[in-house]
Parts: sequence; C-alpha cells; structure tokens
Amino acid sequence: MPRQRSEHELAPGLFAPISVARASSSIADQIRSAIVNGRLREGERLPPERELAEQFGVSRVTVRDALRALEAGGLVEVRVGARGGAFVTVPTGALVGQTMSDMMMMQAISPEDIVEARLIVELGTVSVACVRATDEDLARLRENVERGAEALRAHTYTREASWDFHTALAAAAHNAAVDGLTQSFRSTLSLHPVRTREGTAAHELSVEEHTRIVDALERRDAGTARREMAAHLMRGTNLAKRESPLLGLWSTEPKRDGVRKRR
Amino acid sequence: MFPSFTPVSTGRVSTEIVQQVKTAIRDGRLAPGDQLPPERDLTRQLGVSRVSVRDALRMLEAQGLVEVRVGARGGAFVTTPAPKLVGEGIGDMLLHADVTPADLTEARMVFELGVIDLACARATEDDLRVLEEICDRADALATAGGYDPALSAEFHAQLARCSHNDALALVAAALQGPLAGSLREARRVDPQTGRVGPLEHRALVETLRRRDAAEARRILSEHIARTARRVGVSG
Repeated sequence: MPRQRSEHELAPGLFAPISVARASSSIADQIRSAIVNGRLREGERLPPERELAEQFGVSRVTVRDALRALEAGGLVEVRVGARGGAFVTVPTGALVGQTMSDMMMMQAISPEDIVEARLIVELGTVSVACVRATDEDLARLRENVERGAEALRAHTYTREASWDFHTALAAAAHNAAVDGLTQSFRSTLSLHPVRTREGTAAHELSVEEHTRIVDALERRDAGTARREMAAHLMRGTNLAKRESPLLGLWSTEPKRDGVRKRR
Repeated sequence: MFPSFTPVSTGRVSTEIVQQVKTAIRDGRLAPGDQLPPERDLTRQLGVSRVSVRDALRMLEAQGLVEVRVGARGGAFVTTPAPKLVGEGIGDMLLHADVTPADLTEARMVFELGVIDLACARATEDDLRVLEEICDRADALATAGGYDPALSAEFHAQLARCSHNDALALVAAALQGPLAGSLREARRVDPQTGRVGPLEHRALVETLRRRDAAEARRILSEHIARTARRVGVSG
C-alpha cells in the first residue's frame, strides 16, 4: 500500500523555488537528492503536478518534464488512473543497463569491454556468494537450474531464464551494491554479438554451466565456482583473442583477501 | 529520408513512441546527428496528442538518445548516450539509502581487485602521471594538515581508467561519489583515516610502473580492507 504524505508534511523547506534557465533539470535534481538521501522513501507518492508547480514556482509543463526525466532514470514511476500519480521507486540496475546497451547499440562502447567488465563483477559476485549463500539461496539456485533443464526439454528456455540464474546468484551475495552492479549488465546481453544468434545447443551449455556453478557453491568451493563462471561468460565471446591479463588470473585460484562473511 | 512511424494504439502512448524511435536507431534508420521531425509533424504522423510526443521526447532526452536544442536552428536531434549518464544511473543506485558503506566497500573489493590486473597490464606513462598528479595534490593537502576523501575517490576512479576499458571506467566513475561518502564514514569512525592511504596510493603507482600485478593486488587489498574494517565489513 503506497504511503502518501500530507501537503503539510511535505511543504516547507523540502524543495526550493527555481530560478535557472533549465528549470526541469533543477527540479529533477532536487527530487533526486531527496530520494537518494532517503527523505523521500520508496512507494511514497509525490504531491500532484499542480502542487509541485506551485512549490517550485514553475509551470505544470516544466514539472511534467522533470517527472519524465526522473521516470527515465528509474527514480519515480508515473501511474495513471484514479489512484495514479508519481511514486518514488528505487532505481534498478536493469535501467542503468538499458543505457549501457543503448551505448553499445550506437557503438559508443565495445561489446568486448562490456564482457570484460561483466567478468570482473560476476567473478567477484560468485566469490562473495560462495561464502555468504544461505540454504534458501542455494535451494533457489538449484531450483533455477532444474527448472531450466525442464524448460530445455519443453523447448521453452529463454535468455530471460538464463538471466534469472545470475539474478539469484547476485541475491546470494547479500550486498545491495554488488547486486546493483550485476543488474547493470542485464540488458546488454540482448545485444551480445554472438549470443543473439544462439540456439538450443548454446542454451543447453548454459544450463550445464549453471548447474556446475551451483554444485561448486554447494561445496563452498570458490575456486571451482570462479573457473566455471569464467568459462561460462567467455564461451561464445571473442575475449580469448584479446590479450587480457585476466585470462591467466582465472586459470589459477586468486586470493580473495578481506571478503569475509558478515553474519 | 526520415523513416515513417506507424500510428500507435495500445499501452502508454509515449512509451510506445520511445520504442519506435529506439527501433529506428537500432535498425540504422536513424543515426546520431539526425534531426527528428517537428513535434507538430510527429503528432500527425503518429496520430497522438502533442503532450504524448513531448513526453516521449523528454524520455528520450533523459535516456541520452535525443538532444533538444532551442532557438532558430533548434529541434530534437539523435545523440549517443554519454557515459556520464550510465555513471549517474549507477551512482543513484549506489547512493541510495539501502546501500550501506559496508556494502559499498565490499563491492569495491570485488570490482577494484578485478580491475587492478588490467590496470597493471595496460597503464601508460600518461596514466601514471595523472595518478601521480593526484598524489601530489593529496601530499600538498597533507602538509597543510588536511585530507580530502574526494581526492582519494578520484585516485581510485583514475586507477580503473588505466584498464582502458570504457565499461569499467564508467562503473568506476559511478563509484566515485559513493566511495567518497564511505571514506567520510570511515573517517568519522576512525580519525586516523587518510594517514596511511595516500602513501599506499604512491606505492601503487610505483608497482604499476613495474607492472608487478601481484604486489599491486597485495597493496590494494590491504588498502581497501582497512576501510572495510572501519565501516563494518566484519568477520
């Protein structure tokens, strides 16, 4: 149930009137910082456009522009209808990934760079998850690969199913920052130059690799989990051709100083 | 010739317009620098209200795919999203109240210890000079008895840039603000924060110059582990 602040609660001092030329950006910035500071919480409804316009001293069109920009940044969700309005949401990595994949689409960033960056993040994630995964996390991962195997048999396996595995793995790291970084790469996958053309055979390999990663996690064998993850992410990419010092590193078992269990 | 768009019927109209423009970019029918038709024309072509078109343009602008210029030669132009935009998005996510300094510092271990090997292999002499220049500024400040977490954060962002990987550089740029925040928290817990760190930055530059990845990893992991202890990534 979304909460809504009364006009009186929100009114004095939370937002300041605007004077600069690009008023909508300034409004978006003020609302953004109220959200990241936690002064506006997830699920809260912003005051109606009319009220915001008065508070900021601008036109309703300008407020609308600001809300659109915040919506694109994943900080608010605008719902229509009787119980509608602009609601505060927590930005997700998936949205960030959208921009990253837009950049890739327009060749402002190379797919090789993305794969390399994703390797770093996912190899770190799997190391942390290996220490911190609870029994429930492991059960969820096991269920994911089993469902994946069933979907393969029924020919209904999709890239989304594959991504669900990585999402569950990131959750098992129990770290909101690590989770966010992992999710940032989500929508870049659909543009992967090789894997966009992948078929059933590649999906079968994916499920096999995921299963081996879960096996290693269950044994708390971080070295094997990392090697399996590296092989999984690099399959079908041309990263092996690139002189990446990471390749040597992954063949051994690197020390992970300092990453310790929190509870 | 500008690609023709089809009228929209279902869902939220502005979102659909955004999708059509994105598809046109993906298919190469629109490229950076191309100008979109005026709002009035788009409105007619798509069979929607001017408000919907405006909304769609604003969303595209916020996603960095369109730049709206004002004035006589103005209009909506297709652009390539700037890395800054991804950085801001990740930054918003990491600055959010739900992400603790401990979470962030652990994420740095994951990220920076992965990046250091690439930095060690790919850093150029120019990269190292930029790192040294940041160290010089920190030293000057230390001589005057000061310490600036933002300067430390800048060092770490530049360290990631040594990997010459654009995706890593933009993730690092996004980490910069939240990182400075976690160092402020570390200093609140332990006022000694900022005494040893800058010396280790200097040592890191030297190991990078020697391309001694093992030693660089050792210094960096000890360096971040100290912050980790202060902000409560505990055993």
